[in-house]
Amino acid sequence: MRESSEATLRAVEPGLPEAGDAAALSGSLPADWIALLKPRVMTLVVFTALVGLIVAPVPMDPVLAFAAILAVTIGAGASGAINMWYDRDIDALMRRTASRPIPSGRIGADAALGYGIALAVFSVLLMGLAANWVAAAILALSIGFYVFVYTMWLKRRTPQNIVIGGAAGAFPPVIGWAAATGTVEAAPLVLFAMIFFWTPPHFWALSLFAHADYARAGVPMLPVVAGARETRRQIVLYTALLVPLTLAPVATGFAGWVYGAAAALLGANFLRHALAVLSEPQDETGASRLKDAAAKACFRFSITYLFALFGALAADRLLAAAGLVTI
Amino acid sequence: MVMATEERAGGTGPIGHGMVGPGRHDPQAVTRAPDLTPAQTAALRARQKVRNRVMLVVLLGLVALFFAITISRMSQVQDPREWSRPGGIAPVPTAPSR
Repeated sequence: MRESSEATLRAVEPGLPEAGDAAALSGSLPADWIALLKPRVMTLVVFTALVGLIVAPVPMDPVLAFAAILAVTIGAGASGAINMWYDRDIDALMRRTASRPIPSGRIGADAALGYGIALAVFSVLLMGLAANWVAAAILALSIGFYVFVYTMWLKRRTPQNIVIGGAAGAFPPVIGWAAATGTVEAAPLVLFAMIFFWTPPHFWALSLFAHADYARAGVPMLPVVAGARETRRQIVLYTALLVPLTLAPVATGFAGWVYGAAAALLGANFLRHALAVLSEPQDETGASRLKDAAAKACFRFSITYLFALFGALAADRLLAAAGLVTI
Repeated sequence: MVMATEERAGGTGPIGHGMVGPGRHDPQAVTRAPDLTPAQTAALRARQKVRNRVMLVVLLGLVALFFAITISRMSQVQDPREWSRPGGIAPVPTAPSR
């Protein structure tokens, strides 16, 4: 018995960091917990939610509007944290994600999951208390969609993962609108559709130059499964569907010429980038001979595009509200 | 004694904290993390301090946020008596219009 105890005292529990692993032993920094929330993704989510709130026909108390946007921010971050918890195995395999807090050992997987769930619950409650329970329900739906439908179900199973899963990122303007009005109408659903159709060309442009990472991790992104040539065609197809859709707010009288002009110019530019991706010099497999310069430019522009498009919509509505332009 | 304990625990495998040899489980075992060097201890304390300060800021922020939400929600209600819970304050009878 004594022999057994002594042996046990010498044993080290599996999973505990080795004595030399200083980073793991000295714990995490607040920056690691912020990184767990995917702050770069969060900015786009917050911005589109803010625009949804601004363009809603019902003005909102500034404090409550701030709290509602904060709830969307926290909810988006919570989704990111749970996503990082679930994807920790493939994150460790991809160069782009290997330095994230969980695969690098700075934050434990269980702690990340608890953090994500706590923030998700808090964000929904905050939205319900600050705005209304319709917006809170849509926020809960978007978190659930991102975690269960995209992350757990689609991401590792189908090359259509980001087409269907992209819906999770399209919810924020609907949430913003619902926070202000308490309802969901046609106008925010058009904004939803715009982000829904923007997501595939945005992500496929990224996956064209990051496909080696996805292939190593076994994620069936379109370039990995169908090849680069087909991905280039799909980017053009979805961009061609997106551009006329962005003019729908003008056609339905929801936005004026300021937005219409911006949407047309931005759409033409996005289409030009998509066509450049299609016509970039390639080898017989569709791989770029120019280090995916066109795909990188298209990916960068897609981010600018969405910010500018939604910014123009908000500006249009604010100018109309100030009586400077008519819709 | 050890054998009996292992049998109760379901034989082999890392069920609890203690390990006696590869794959053998002793639920009464006591394990501990490896000792930290003074430099690691100092780094750990420094990071704990940073985390504690951030938690303080977050908690104070939450207090301010919920205070602001409460004030804003209350200001939307014209008659403060509408905030009363059922049975708390009797509803105010409205005078019939003439």
